[in-house]
Amino acid sequence: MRVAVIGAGVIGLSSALCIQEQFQSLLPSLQLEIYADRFTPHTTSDGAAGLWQPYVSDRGILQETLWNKETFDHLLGQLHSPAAKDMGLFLISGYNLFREPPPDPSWKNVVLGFRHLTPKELELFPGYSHGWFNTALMLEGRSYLPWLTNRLTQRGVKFFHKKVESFQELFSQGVDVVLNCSGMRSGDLQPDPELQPGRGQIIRVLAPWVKHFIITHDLKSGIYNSPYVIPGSEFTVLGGVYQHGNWSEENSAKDHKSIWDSCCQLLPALQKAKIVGEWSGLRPARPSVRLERESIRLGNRQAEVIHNYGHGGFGLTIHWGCAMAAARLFGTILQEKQQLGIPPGPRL
Amino acid sequence: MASPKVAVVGAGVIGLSTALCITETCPSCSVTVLSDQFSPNTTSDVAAGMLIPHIYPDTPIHRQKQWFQETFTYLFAISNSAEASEAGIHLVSGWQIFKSPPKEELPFWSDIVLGFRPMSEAELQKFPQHRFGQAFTTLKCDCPPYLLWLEKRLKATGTQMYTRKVADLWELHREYDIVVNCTGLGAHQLVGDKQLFPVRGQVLKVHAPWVTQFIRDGDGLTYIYPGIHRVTLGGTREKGSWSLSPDAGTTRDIFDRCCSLEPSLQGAQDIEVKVGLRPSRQSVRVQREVLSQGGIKLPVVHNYGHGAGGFSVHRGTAKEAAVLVEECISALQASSSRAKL
Repeated sequence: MRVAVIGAGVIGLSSALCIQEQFQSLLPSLQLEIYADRFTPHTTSDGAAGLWQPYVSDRGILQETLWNKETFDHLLGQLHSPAAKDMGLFLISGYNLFREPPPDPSWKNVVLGFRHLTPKELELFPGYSHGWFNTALMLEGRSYLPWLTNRLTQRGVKFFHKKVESFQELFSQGVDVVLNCSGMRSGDLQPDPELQPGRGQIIRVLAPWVKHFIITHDLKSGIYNSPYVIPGSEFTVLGGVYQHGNWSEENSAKDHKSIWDSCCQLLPALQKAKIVGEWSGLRPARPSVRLERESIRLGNRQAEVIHNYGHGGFGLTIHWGCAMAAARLFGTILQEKQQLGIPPGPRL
Repeated sequence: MASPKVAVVGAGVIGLSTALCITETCPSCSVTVLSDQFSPNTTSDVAAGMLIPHIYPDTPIHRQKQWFQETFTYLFAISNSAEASEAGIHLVSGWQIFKSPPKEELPFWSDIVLGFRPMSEAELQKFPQHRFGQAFTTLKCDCPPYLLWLEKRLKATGTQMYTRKVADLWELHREYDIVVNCTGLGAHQLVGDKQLFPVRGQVLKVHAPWVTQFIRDGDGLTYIYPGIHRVTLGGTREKGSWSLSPDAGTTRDIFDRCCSLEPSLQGAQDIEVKVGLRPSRQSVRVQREVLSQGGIKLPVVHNYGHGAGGFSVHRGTAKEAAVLVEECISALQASSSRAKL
């Protein structure tokens, strides 16, 4: 049973790992393959700061809220394991700031120690009248993706550096199930007008005195179009750009200035921070995550695609819940194949 | 007295901050800092510099609270300014955890630090051996940066600083009008204060940049304090020990205790071991005195004995000492006026 995963970002790698962990022992013939044209450190997941935090305004999709929680709980459980440091996983506290009173987020009881800011704390952030403090998690893609890759390689998963042009291309080679984790470029494999880029740009600086994340919100300009500062283990990420429909992966001088000025206004000490890098990436934005099966008729057989894409700016935040859901869909496919009398053995 | 000459003996956090306060309250004073050690070789350089007060049994609580409030307010403003990184001042959040119920549910400083509250059940799960906890956000003064920043501010006011071992305060009476004694543990010898005693502390300074939260065991012995570049792991409280040599067994023990609270520290790199002797006393001595010898008088202001809590109250005691210096100046002016009559 050959299963091909398209995409080697956090979604592709974690989906592959979930399926491998749950089904390899039940299905000795299971052979997982990962196809991608970009691997760590060149994926979207590598550019993201890595803070676990869903959007503050609920899209009202309960399923996503549950996947976010599942991911947080899973990661929290890993925190004390020896692997945590290699995974790029650690606790971090910080602030969400607003100019007008926001409703509490769906994830207030998922994170640790969620509370509203005191007046004295708000003195730190002139111009913001309300805010939250909580302890959340960092999961740095630049560590997590190599860690996932190592686990997968140890378990016999094969990697192919290749741009897949169509699902058919893989099916015609004998693949039984395809996992479409191609993020922003899912549209190349199957048109999806709902999938649009949410372009982001970040500046990486050395500011090791910053120990908290600070995320500002401007409900008028929308999510991530307001400055944010997220400290990581090697550098601090400054950001605050979300441009819907912009496909450019080139750094923009105008965005650089806007991010720099607004972050320095938020944290004056950043003026002394040394800039060590800049990056632009495309959040694979969609009104809801596409996580579902699609059966494709190919001649006299039925090929299966499991879509798992469209995680916008919360891929790391939601990845594990989605990977588990994708694995459940895979399990359903296996059950159906058995019911139809198709043995889950090697193709003859 | 046109330009009173003030000598501040000691260049740790107490000496430097006291000198700075004196230049602020008495711009006409000529201030000189004398010390046998400067940063990075002071006791202050070993400390983590966390603003979590130590309790002095014989100092009234309201006075300790005022000192802490002054210090916190002063540093809070710096942390929020463009100078924060140079001054080494930053906010840090974390937990103080207890195996058995703490003596006081609400310490006197709970309304001065930010966001003080009991830890939730979910947060306590991180510490299976501890049953109670307090979460809050406070400030940290990283050394050497903070001391170097104080030195820079002092130089800008024209304050001179000299490496010099003062063996006897009387050495200074010809050159200086007032002496300010910020010698920490040195006061044991220098002014014969037998109430002063060392409490030896050994710490590890490690590279572990993924540790963003502080953790302090309420017994005061085990703590993890993330600084700008290094995390300070502690510690010990060895009363009466004068040894400045690191002990290898202690290093192992500190590391094990900290790893049990924060397992990811197993991956810490570049472990540096340091030892400091806390200049401990039942109360901080912030006091004026006039020494007298053969008809000569020497006004002295003492500011020492801060033990484990130097950083937490440094600015508050420095301001009080500066007020005492003003009183000395007034007294000198009054007596020189009397002399003129």
